[in-house]
Amino acid sequence: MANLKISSLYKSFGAENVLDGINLDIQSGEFLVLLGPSGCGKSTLLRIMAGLEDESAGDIAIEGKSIAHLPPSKREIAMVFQTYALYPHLSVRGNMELVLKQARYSKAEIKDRVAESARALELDALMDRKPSQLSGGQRQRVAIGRAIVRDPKIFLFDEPLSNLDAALRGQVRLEIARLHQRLSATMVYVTHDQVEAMTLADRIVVLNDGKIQQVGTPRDLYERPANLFVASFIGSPNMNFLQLEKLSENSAQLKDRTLLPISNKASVIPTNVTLGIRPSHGILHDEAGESYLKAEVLLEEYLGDTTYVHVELETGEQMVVREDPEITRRTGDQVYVELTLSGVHLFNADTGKRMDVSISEQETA
Amino acid sequence: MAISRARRNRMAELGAHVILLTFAVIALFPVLLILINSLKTKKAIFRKPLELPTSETLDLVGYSTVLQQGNFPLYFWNSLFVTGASLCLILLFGAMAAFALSEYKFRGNRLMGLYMALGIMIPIRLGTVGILRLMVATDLVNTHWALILVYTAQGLPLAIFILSEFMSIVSSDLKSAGRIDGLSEYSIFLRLVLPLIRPAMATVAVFSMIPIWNDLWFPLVLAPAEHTKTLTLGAQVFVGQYSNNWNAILAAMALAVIPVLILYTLFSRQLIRGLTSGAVK
Repeated sequence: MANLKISSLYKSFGAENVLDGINLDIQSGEFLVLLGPSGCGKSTLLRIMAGLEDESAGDIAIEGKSIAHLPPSKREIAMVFQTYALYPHLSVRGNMELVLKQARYSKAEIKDRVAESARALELDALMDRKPSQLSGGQRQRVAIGRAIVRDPKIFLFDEPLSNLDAALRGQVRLEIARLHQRLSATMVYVTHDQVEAMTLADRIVVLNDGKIQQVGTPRDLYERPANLFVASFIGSPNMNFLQLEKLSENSAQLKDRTLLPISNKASVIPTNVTLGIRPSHGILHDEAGESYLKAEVLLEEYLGDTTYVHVELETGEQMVVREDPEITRRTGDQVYVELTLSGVHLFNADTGKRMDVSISEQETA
Repeated sequence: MAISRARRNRMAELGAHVILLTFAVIALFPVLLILINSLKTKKAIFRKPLELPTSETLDLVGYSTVLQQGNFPLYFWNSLFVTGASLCLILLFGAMAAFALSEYKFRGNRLMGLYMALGIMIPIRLGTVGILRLMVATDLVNTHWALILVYTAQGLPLAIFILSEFMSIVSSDLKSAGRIDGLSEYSIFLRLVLPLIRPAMATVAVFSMIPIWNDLWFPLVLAPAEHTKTLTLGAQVFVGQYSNNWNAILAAMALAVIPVLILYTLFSRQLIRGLTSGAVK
């Protein structure tokens, strides 16, 4: 267990800044997920933590001691890879023993530690097999076992579930969550899958273009996204975005002239404002009503327990609205979309930054 | 429908085999001719070159000449030693250079790779005079090392070219895992990467071995002394200006095939094993 501090970390390949001033405090025992689209720099950040890649500038410290100059094997970290990266010529036991042998542990201790990890991950029956004789899920368990035996200060996971099929993914995800509970170790986990991030993380760091977009609990990120990028990246299906015609102190006007009783506390109101609303915060009606948006059904996606209805507004903007699967809509049907005001987010369209929203009570009454 | 497809498949298979067999016959015919005629009398070689040796024409004079005259066992050993040592050095240094080129990012990496690959296109024989001078200056003329060094230089470009392609395919996660587990760069190279590119090593070995074994030029120029003569050079004693001792030449050639055949079988088995081991996910 240890905390890890990253301060003003930069990484550039040639002229390109892959990581652009990263500052991050990872608490002891925390499960931190680095989330972002491919190419956002999340894997590079993890590889720099591991010492596999050199930083261009900045510092990394574990428990206050800088590790930036240390080789990977001296950093007391363990890493689990997407491709498992098991040594193909060694048995499961050999894979788990290697790091301890390199660190010159006594034979008895190696035996104890390997046996303990094997028991914890239920690998006992597989100890003498070669990696090629294991299934994907088993291989990843061995890779995790190999990380545990060394009793590292920090665990690093580099998209460990990406190579597994959907059914196994859920199962191994659960194992990782249980592992974190049992070891209460500091873990840093890289993924592009928001389901993994939301279910596993104590805190999520959303990265894009080498910059941290937002750090927060899964709930923070979902309910109060700091900017347009986080708003669009978290949540499935994506948040809907509508351009506002005009935002005044106590109302917001959409492009189709619909007025919403929303106020905001910004001292200077920006001219370009984007309204964001999740599919679950829209309600479809057959009849028109106050502040309802007129729309036409484009497509219905039936998922069994829920249905997503894609609609096109009069302005040509498209929205997705979640609906009870009992109701069926046909393409071309006329509907009216009510926006649940508590679910409305406002963003400065120029900077992408979140703006505070409150519902103007007097007008809703 | 299913039957006709199966039949068509069988026809296609048959066709492929006919083509392959034809090619095998064409390729093997000269070798067979050498083997047959090395066992016949001189007259029979010229009168009926395609006939199998009969009780009348059977004559092992070629083999007895080869084995009695001169130092053929020594020539054999020289060829084997030079080829074997060159192969070892080519594979070792080729793999090391390929690892460095594919694994480490350093200034001039690509340029270096290109420079190494240039050797594939420029025949080393163009530099014979320079090489000879160098060998004279270093007092290496008429030693095995003169040949081994030249053959190593000759084989390296192709080896580096092929191996660096294969090295870059080896999972970088695996190397990273090794580094985190505290393996040295040498261990990563020797214990993780080399076993995974065994098929490529076998390919390089086969490609490099044959020109070295068959070479006449450099043994003639750099090591013509009796104690360093290779098999191909040794066999030249039977080639005269006006008449050739065909029995002996054919026998020497037949004998020269054997080690190559053994080495080739060895490497090709490695090659197949490497391809089927399924070491990488």
